[in-house]
Parts: sequence; structure tokens; C-alpha cells
Amino acid sequence: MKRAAHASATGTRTRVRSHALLPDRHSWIDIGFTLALAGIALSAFGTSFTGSTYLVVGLLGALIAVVVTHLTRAAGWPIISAVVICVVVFFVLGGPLCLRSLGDTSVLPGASTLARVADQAVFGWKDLLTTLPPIDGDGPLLVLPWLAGLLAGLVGMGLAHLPVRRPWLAAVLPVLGMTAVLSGAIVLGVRHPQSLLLQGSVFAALALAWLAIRAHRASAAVHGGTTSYVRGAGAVVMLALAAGVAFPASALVGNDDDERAVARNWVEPPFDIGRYPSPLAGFRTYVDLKGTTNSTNVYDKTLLDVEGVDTGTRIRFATMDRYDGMVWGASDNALPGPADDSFQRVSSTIDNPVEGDEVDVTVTLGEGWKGVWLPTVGALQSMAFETGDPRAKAEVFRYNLATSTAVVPSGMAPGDRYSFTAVQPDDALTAETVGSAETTALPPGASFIQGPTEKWTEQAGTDPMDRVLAAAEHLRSQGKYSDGIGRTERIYVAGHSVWRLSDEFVNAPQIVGNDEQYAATMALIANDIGVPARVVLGAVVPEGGRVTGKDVSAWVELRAADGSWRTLPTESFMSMTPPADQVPETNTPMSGTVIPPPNPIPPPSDAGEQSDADLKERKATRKKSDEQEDGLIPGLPAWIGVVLTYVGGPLLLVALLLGAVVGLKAWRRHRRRSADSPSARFVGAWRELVDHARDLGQVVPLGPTVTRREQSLGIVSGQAGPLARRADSFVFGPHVPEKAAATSYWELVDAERRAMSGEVGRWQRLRAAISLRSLGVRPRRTSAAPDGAPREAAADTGRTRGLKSRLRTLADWRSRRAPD
Amino acid sequence: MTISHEQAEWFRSTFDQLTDNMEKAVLGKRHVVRLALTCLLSEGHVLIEDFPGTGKTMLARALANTVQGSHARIQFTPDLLPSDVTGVTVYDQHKGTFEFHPGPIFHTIVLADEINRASPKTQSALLEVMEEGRVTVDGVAHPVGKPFLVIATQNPIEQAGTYRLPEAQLDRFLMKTSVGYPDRQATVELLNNAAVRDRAGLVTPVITAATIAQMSGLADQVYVDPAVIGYVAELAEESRRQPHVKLGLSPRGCLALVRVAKTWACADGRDHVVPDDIKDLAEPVLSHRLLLDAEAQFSGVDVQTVISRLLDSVAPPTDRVGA
Repeated sequence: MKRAAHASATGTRTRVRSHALLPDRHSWIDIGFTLALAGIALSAFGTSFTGSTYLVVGLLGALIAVVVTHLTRAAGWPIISAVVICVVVFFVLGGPLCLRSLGDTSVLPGASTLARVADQAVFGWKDLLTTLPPIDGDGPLLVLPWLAGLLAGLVGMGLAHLPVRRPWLAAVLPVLGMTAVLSGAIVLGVRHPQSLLLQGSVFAALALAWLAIRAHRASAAVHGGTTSYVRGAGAVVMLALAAGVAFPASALVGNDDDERAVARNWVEPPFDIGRYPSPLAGFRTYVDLKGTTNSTNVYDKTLLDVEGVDTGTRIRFATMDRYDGMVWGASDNALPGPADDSFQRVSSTIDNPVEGDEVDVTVTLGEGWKGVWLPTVGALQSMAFETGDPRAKAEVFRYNLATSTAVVPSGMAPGDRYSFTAVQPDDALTAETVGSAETTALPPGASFIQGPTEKWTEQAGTDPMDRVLAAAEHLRSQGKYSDGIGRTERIYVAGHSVWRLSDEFVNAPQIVGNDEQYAATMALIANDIGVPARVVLGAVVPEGGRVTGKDVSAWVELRAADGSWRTLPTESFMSMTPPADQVPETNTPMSGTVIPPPNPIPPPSDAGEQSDADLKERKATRKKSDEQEDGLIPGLPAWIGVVLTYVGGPLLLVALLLGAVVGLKAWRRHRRRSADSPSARFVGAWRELVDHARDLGQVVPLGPTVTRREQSLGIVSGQAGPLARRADSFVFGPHVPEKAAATSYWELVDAERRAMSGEVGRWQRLRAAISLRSLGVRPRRTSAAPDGAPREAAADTGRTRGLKSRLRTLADWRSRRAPD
Repeated sequence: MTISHEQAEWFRSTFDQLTDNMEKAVLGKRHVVRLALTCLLSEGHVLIEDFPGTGKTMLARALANTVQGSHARIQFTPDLLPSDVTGVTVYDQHKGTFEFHPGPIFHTIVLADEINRASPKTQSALLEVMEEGRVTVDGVAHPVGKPFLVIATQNPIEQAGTYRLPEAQLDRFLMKTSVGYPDRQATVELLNNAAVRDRAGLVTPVITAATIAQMSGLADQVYVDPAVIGYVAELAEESRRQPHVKLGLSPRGCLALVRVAKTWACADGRDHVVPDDIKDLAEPVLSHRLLLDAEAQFSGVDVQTVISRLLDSVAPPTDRVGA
């Protein structure tokens, strides 16, 4: 310290005391506040993850970042070095810490682990936002709190030690940075905050306390360390007031979950349930063929073995809540407003707040089951796949909270077994049930239903639910049941398109169909009346729990005024009476009329159960549109989206890093240009020229013992020598330089930099702009080695000696001189 | 009060004229010539050490000739007595009094050729006059006048028949430098003009003693920033910590370095000293002031190596004090 003081007194800067690696008192305070605020910010992930592993991993990341930032600062390295080290740490420890569930636990990560960590860091955010919380606490998405922790530590400590000239800015910057981290964590969280008290009052109190301490520190530096008790008392009062106000304010603002702004509200899941065919359209695979054979028919085949539920329990295959004129199909976002009505990724536990009896169910898929739909009961609370690569199934498993429909896009196969816990809500439709008052728009093309509805319900009064039940009763009493099997019934074709439901069902002389037509029509009628309705394909669990094709049926669910969905059983709107033989076996064509042959039962399509001609046509149309719209950017082909996703992301990352380099240099230039003292501006301008030359690839001698004149000899520039001389004349001259002179000097340096850039090619200019050479570590000033060994700072000694000889042999120094 | 830009420019111009004039005799040694002139204008004395035949005496004579004033040459030999240098007091039988007869030291420029061939006793006769500019004989002080410059040459001490100059004597010299062998171009030019037996005779006086004194006065007014002074102090402190150094830089050495740097800066047309001046002059000013221990020779460390390490271990200032 004595030597440092001496150097300060003489201004020679010949000694730099060795930095202590241990933090001083101020650093300890900054570290403590950074970790505390990072912990609170990370707690915002509490509602997104199960357990507390996310917090441990995040805090570990914050701790590492804080230590790295402190050590690099103590070593005098630039902040970019801390960033680089943290990036390396992120990748090296990311696998063992965050990908243990995938088996990536080795200390030295392989290429696949690094790629997975990078993939989670880049794309995991969307997975997080599109996965129904809570997410498994030990899953690969732990990469996100790990990254957030590192980021929080870097931001907190990096900004805390950022050299800023204005004291108030130095005090505020780290607090603002940590507030931004908290805001980011909240935005990435869920609508239900973890703790208003923690994220509001405690964070505000800590942030203000840190702000007060840093402001006091800055003030002490300015005022020579003096302060007053009044000022300290004022700070305490301000803290108390802020904390007192923060809690009620945070409790009021955003108290309504719907108003809480989180990114989850706007991010749409990258999953299109509409690509899967409607299971209702393939209903005839479940019907009795009455002696004929068809390999796809599963009437007698076992679909499921269900354990854990009572006989008569309705097991849901799929809920279809949108009619497009062709089929009833499952969809995302069918409900108005923000609601969990999309197919989201879920973890093993599901936050599904439904009241009712809880059941533990185990399902084993039988030989007749295939497809992506996953039979479930009630509202799921947890899910565990037991066979058939359960981890892969769990990764892709999606669930729609609003429709209680589960899907495994990779498909389920006979023999697959899974268990789940579910709550069975009260879904019985009673005489007291009041229909929802929500207005429902009639699906496109379904206006044909309005006439029959009016006609069948004109005696039922005005109550919507009464009208629905009246229409159901009309269908049940007037309709007939036929699966279209047999020579006399082939005219009752499959499907529930507008044509089938209008001309061939409600407007036909005789209403004839099976579950498919009845349920589809009933749901349309209810929607027309004003009671939101949807179609459910499922089965009623028989005695013994073995569900076969004959147990499958389709029913309708009506939405009640309380928001719940009530079951309108199949038997309440569907007749089981077969049609009479009023339809002749052989039609005698009338003169001039050609009656087309009845549609045969079509073979199953490759896509699944849906098999009618309309669906094929629809699929063909959709396939074409999918190619165009499945990409990230609507209107562009999907492959462009894929390319943009996997190439654009890394490119964007690289662009950000390069932009950061350019930004750092601009920031460094600004600091040098706006230094406090004019002479420091001269020094900064010269360093800017040296750094520019180094970025251009020139070998400019560096080191603590190299003077500006010696450096100028290494710069390929006609004006480097005069500029060095000019800087020396102002810095060491008898008169204190004016700021205007510094500004003028900067203009000269800028002009010379442009001239140097102009002498090289465009590519080299670009390389110079993003070069890290000038951002590297500068050799430190060191003292003499006591043992006479070569000095640390003598890395450039040889070069310096060479310069001495050059100094004597080169043209006379004075010839390079420019008038001052 | 500091020197103005115009004065500095005049100084530089005059200095260049002197240099050009001396280069008529000393070919291809502009740097050494500038060092010698710097020494003259800093009111110091210069010691030129080199092997025989490298032009030491030529340099000294050219320097003496370029200044309009008296000059003398003393050839130092082992039997040279101190009174042969300073002068003697002789009894005048006609007047009946003792009268002082000045020696060759009483000239503007004195060339002490092969000074280390004289005995230490005779060498020590120069101590007073070099430091104080006067000679005391029989209790009477006799000033030598201004300007006064001693240009001494010596052969390397390894040469036979030489006596090492005492440290006190060495410290009196402002600089110690060497001429060195000329490069090829200078050698060819020298041989082409071999008919010219006395090249020093080509040098005619171009400056008066008064102008020398005026230039010295201007050099004294050159500004030295505290940061540069701190650098010199740090060099001195560090020189005493250097390994193999028995005797480091003395305060007189520090003063000499700053004084010479002022003149060097002024010769460059500047009104201020920069760290480069200190670095440029470190070797000629320090090389005869640093005394190495016995182990240095066995370790292959010479004084040039020590100075190079010294400059590599002390960082020059980059900014002014308080900035």
C-alpha cells in the first residue's frame, strides 16, 4: 500500500498492488445482496417447477457467477472474461446438474450433452411456457433456472462493479439489473405468483436497502467519508415506507390472475391437435358388423383393461369441441378468453384444481387400441407411463385441462400400461342444471340445424336447457338406430358432415344414424339454442373393467352456468330402435333419376380411425396448408421454419455475441472520450488508436513499460507518430489541456482510424470490428523480480529492446513531428 | 516560468546546426554527437569509452572546434602529475612573489584523452574543477569560467596500462557513451576521403560561448511534469533493488538525468520532458553510475543488461499527476 501511495503521489503508476482475491467489505455486501435478490428472483420459478431443485441449481449458478465476476475483477480482467467463463461453466456443469434425468451425469460433457444443454437454453423457454406447470423439478428444463442464476449473478455483480462516473448511476444500476432479472422471471412464470410478499415487499426492501448502501458509499466517496445520522435515519424511514407500501401494492396490482402479465398468456403451444383425425368420424370401427368381417373393426376386441374405477364410469377417449362442417374435432383455444384450453405439455403431476372424488386408475391398452388418444377418467391430477418407453411418452404427453383430453402424439400401442390419479367431478345433468349464459356461435355451415331446432323445441318454452332436453327427446323418440350394416341399411352412411346431418338425418323422412350422427347433431342443436356443447367419444366401463368396442359410445357435454360440463347421456337423445324395413332392399329407379349406390364402409385410412371420404379430402387440403403454415413464420413453407429454427437461432446467438463485442468497444470509446480530465481523454484517444491498430491485426507493442512513441512505431499509419507526440505534449506539457483540445485530438484520432480502415479491405474491416484482440487482457504493471528472473511484465521485453534499436536506426524522431 | 514554443524551436534549430557541423568530422554517429552536445548544453562533462581507433578523440576535438572558445588537450599518461593539469605556483624572482601558472584545464573545452591511463592521483585532480568549476592551488581558488566542458576518453578497463576511475570521479561525468564502429556507408565515405588527415579540422566554430550559456539557460526552463519526476525517482529506487547492483543511482545521478532530459527535450523542440526522454538517456547517464557486484561478471550480467531490466521493470507514466 505504501508503494501504491507513492506511485499515486508521483503519478508514475509504476506499481500496482497485488489484488487481494478475498472480497473487501463493500464486495461482501454486494455479493450478499446479489445472492439474496437472485434467490428471490429465482423463486418466481417456484410455481413452474416441483420441488426445490430449481432453486438449488439457480442459486448455485448465481453463486458461481458472483465468484467468477469477483475474481475476474480482482485480477483486473474485463467483464467480458467473466461472461466467457460463465458460458463455459454453463455448458460444462449444465449436463451433470440439469440433465441427470436424461442420464447425462458425466463430469466432462460430451457433444450430445452440450448440444442438449444448448438446445434447452435456446428452445427451453418455449417448452417452459407451453408446459402446464408444475414441471418436473429434475427434468431437463432445469437448464433454465441454471441459466437464470448465472445471469442474475453476472448482472448483479457486473453492474455493481461497473465503473460509472455518476455516483447515483453507480448506485442504481445493479438494483435496476436485479429488478430486470426479477421481472424476467415473473414474466416467464405463471399467473399464480409464488409469493406476493416475497417478490413484492421483501425484494423491494432488499433492493432499496442495497440502493441506500451503495448511494451512501458513493456519497462517502464524494464527501470524504462523512455522513450524518439524519441521512441514515432518513434512509431507514424510506425503507420502511417502501416495504410497507410495496406489499399492499403488489397484492392489489395483479391480484386477479387474469390480469397478471406473463409470457405464458401470449405464447401458443407449438402443437396442432387438429392434425389428428377426429375419433368420432371413425366410430363405425366400433360397431357390430353382424357377421361380416373387417380387420379394422374392434367391436369384439379388447380396447382397454381399466382398474380402479367403478362399473359404469365413463372413460373418455377424446372430447371434440369444434365443428368445421365436416367433422367434430378436438381443438385448442375453443373457449373464449384466457383459459387452459389448449393441449399443453404436462409433467408427472398436473395442477388441475377440480373438486370431486379422487381415483387411482390403471389402464392397460388392449389389442384393439391404436392411435394417439389416451383414455382417461375425470380430471387428471398425475400421470405415470409404465411401459413402452415411458420417458419418451412422458416427454410428449399433452393434456387439455378444459376438455380433460389426453394425447400422446407418438402414439399408444397395445400392451401399453399407464396409471393416473384423477378427480371425478359431479357431471350429472339434473333438472336444476342451468345452462351457461355464454353466447355460442353456430359453427360454419351448420345453419341447417336452426329450422329443425325451432320446430322440435317450440313447445319447450324459452329456457335453453329445457329446449335442449326437448330436442333430445325428439331425437330419441323420433329417430332410429342404424350402423349402416346390412343390405337394407347401407344407405345410412357414416360421417357427420353437413350433408350427412342435414339431408340424410334431420331433414330426412326418417332420422336414422348411430352415436356419431346423434351426438354430432345434438351438440349442434345445443349450440344453436345457446348452451355450449361438445361431443365426447368414450366408453362406459363394463363389469370387470374390460372395455371392448361394443362399449364405446358418443355422448354430449353441456356447459352449465357454473362453468362445469354436464353429461347428456347417449340414451337421452339416441333411439336404439332399428329402422323399419320401409327402405326397400332394391330400389327401383324412377324414370330419369339415378340413385347412387350406398357408400360402403370405407377401409381405415393410414391416419387412424377417421375414414370417410370427406375427411380424406379435408386431410389432403390440410396437408397442403400444413406445409405452408406449420412453420414458425406463417405463410412460409415449413422447411424454412425448420431452417430458421435450427440455423437462425445459433446465428442470432452469434450475432448477439458479435453485437456485444461491437457494443463493448463503443462503450469503451465513449468512456475514454468522456473521461473526467482532459489529459485522460488524450490518453484514451491514443489507446483507442492503438486498439484499432491491434484489431486491424497490426503488431503494436504493449506492456506497462512501453511509451506512446514506442507504440507509434508499431502502428502502420502516417500520423501515428505525430499523434503520439501531440498526446505527450498535452499530457506532460506545462499547461493543463482544455477539453476543446481533447475534442480536437479525438477528431484527429477518429480521422486516422478511418484512414487506417480505408487502407484495408472490407472483410478485414469487419474482422477488426468484431475482433477481441483489443478487448483482451493488457499486461499489468509489475515490480522488479527480486531474484533477477525475467519479469512477468517483460513479455514484451524483447520487442521493447528491438524497438530501442529501431528508435536509433529509424528516421529521426523529429522528422515525424507535427507542430503542436 | 517555462520556455516558450518559439524559444524551443530556436533551440532545436541551433542544436541541429551544431549537430550537422560536427557530423562533418564524425560520420554516421549522429546519435552520439547529439548526446555529446546535450552534455555540453547541460553544463556537464562527457566520458567517451571505446576501443582505440573508433573516433573518440575525433569526436572530442570536433566538439571543441564547433564552439568558439579556447580548448586544450591533455594526454593522460601514467607519469602525468596533477599539477600538469591544474597548473602550478611558481616563485617570480623579479617580483619576489609566487604566481599561479594555469594548467591546460583552464580552457572552455578540455579534452582529457585516455584519462584512465593516468594514475588515480592525477585523475582525482579533476574532481574539484569538474564539479565546482574552479581549481584550488595553495589555498587559492581559481575559477575556470563558463562554459566549461571536459571531454574525457578512455579505453576499456580491460586494456593493459589503465587505471579504473574512482566512483566519485565517474559520478562527475554527466554521461558516458561510446562511439562504436561506423557502419558500412560511413566507413566507405571515410575511406573515400582518406586524404583528409585531420577531419576535426573541417569543423569550424559556429557558436559562441555566450550562446552556449544562453541555450543552457533555456534548457533549465523546460517543464518536467511531476509524473516524469516520479518516474525518475522510481527508477533510482528500483536501481538500488536490482540484483547484482552494489551501488545504485545516487541523487546526483537523478539530478543529472533530469537535467540532461531537459536539454534533450529542448533539442527536440519541446518545452516539456516526456518519459521517452528519460528512457533514451537512461543508458548514457546511468551506465557509469551503477556499480555491479562481483557475481555479476560470473553471471554474465553487465551494466547494460541491468539498465535494460530496470527500464523493463518500472513503468513510465501515461498520464499527468492528478488526472
